Amino acid sequence: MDYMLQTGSGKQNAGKYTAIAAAVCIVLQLVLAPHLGFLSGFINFSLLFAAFVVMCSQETVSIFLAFFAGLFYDLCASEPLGLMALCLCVAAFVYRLLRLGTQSFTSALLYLDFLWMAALVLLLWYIALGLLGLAQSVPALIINSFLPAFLVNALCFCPFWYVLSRLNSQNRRLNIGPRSGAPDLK
Amino acid sequence: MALKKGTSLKLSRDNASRADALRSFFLCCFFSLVLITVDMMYPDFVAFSALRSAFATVTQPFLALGATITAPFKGLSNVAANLTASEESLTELESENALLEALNAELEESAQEAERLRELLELSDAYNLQATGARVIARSTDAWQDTITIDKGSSSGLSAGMAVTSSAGLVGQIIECNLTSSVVRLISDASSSVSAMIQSSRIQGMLEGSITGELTLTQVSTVNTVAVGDVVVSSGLGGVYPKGLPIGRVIEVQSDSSSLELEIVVSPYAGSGSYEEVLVISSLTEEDLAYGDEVVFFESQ
Repeated sequence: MDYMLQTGSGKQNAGKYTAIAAAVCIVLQLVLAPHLGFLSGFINFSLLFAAFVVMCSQETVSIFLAFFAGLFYDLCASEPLGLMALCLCVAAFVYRLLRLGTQSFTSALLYLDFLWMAALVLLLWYIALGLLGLAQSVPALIINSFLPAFLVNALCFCPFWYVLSRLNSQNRRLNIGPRSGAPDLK
Repeated sequence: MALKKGTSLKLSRDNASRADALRSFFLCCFFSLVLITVDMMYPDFVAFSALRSAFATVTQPFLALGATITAPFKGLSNVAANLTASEESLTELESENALLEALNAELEESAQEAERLRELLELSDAYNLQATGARVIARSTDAWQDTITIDKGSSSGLSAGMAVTSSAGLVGQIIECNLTSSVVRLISDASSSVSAMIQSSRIQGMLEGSITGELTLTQVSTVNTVAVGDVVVSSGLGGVYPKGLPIGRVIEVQSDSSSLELEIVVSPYAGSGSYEEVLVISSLTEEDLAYGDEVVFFESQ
């Protein structure tokens, strides 16, 4: 799917979807995220946005977008500036390395990719909090905060997953040019 | 051969992409680590504080909107949390609740005291009184005397004969002054006699107490007109009580054909149990006393 969006019209679509996702996530992070949660886990719309944009377009800019999404989250929260930005750009980079050259995506694969990205980001986040002395017990934090946060973010990714699946199926039907992965037979 | 060329193109594209990704990643990591380090080492760093402050200002309307929208849903989450509350947490909450109730009662008491003291201060300012504040620490227990005891005495500059007032109105006069306490005879006491006047008509009289605690304004001729509801204030004659201090309100006026004086019953503003802090008027200025023409007027009545 990622290569579909490398063409001219594809890039415009990626830009459009990225802008819409950014606007939606910014508003939801400010309006809803501080007030809605499950046990000790709160929705991280920066994580959802970063995962969406990284899976939507594998341009290098997606890593920068993930970085800025993390910065936005850090400004909203009271944790050190740059911490979530670091976690998100690590996850974005790892995803790019793993999925570079992947030709096709299924819906299940998209969701599984988000799950491990979310787990990686949240684990890095809580371990960093413990190392920086901002949390007393990392194991307790992982059990009491990581699991609820992971579950609630996995649930909230569903609308983004639906959009990604639709984009994926549209791009398969279009089957555009040489960048689809098919060999150039000239 | 074409197939090999296509594959090598793809590989070179992948390598370029990988290199791009690596560069971007290292750049973002570097900036993140710098930000984290500066924020941890210098929590009051001016640029970060200004950025956070500006961000908070810009996003504050969104946060307020979110609080309004989600307020109805928070109750539902509390219900869910309460359903899983343990016995230990319930016991802890009950004891905390009891402590908070006691603290609340103390704070309520302090708030009421502060309000009373503020009213006393306003009274002192309004009448430009040179006064000392004191607390009521005891009341008379026998039926013959109507007195209170306050917690200030000669050590605080008080002496017998000083007038005592509350924020509501005149209370009485110090009759006994010890080192750290004083006894105040209330105006309702049978031995009490206060020079008073009707505020609106300036009709002078003597306000006297009684065994029953009833206040009566005497020495008012029947030629004068006094109405129920008229306000009675101190006249300033005699040099004991300052002029103009509110005392009470006329509740009954009776005129006996065989008498030359009206029987005027006054209800005091400062009821015997309505004050806990009082002001002792330590000295009277010229303006607190009656003028010479007012004295003449009284003598002519």
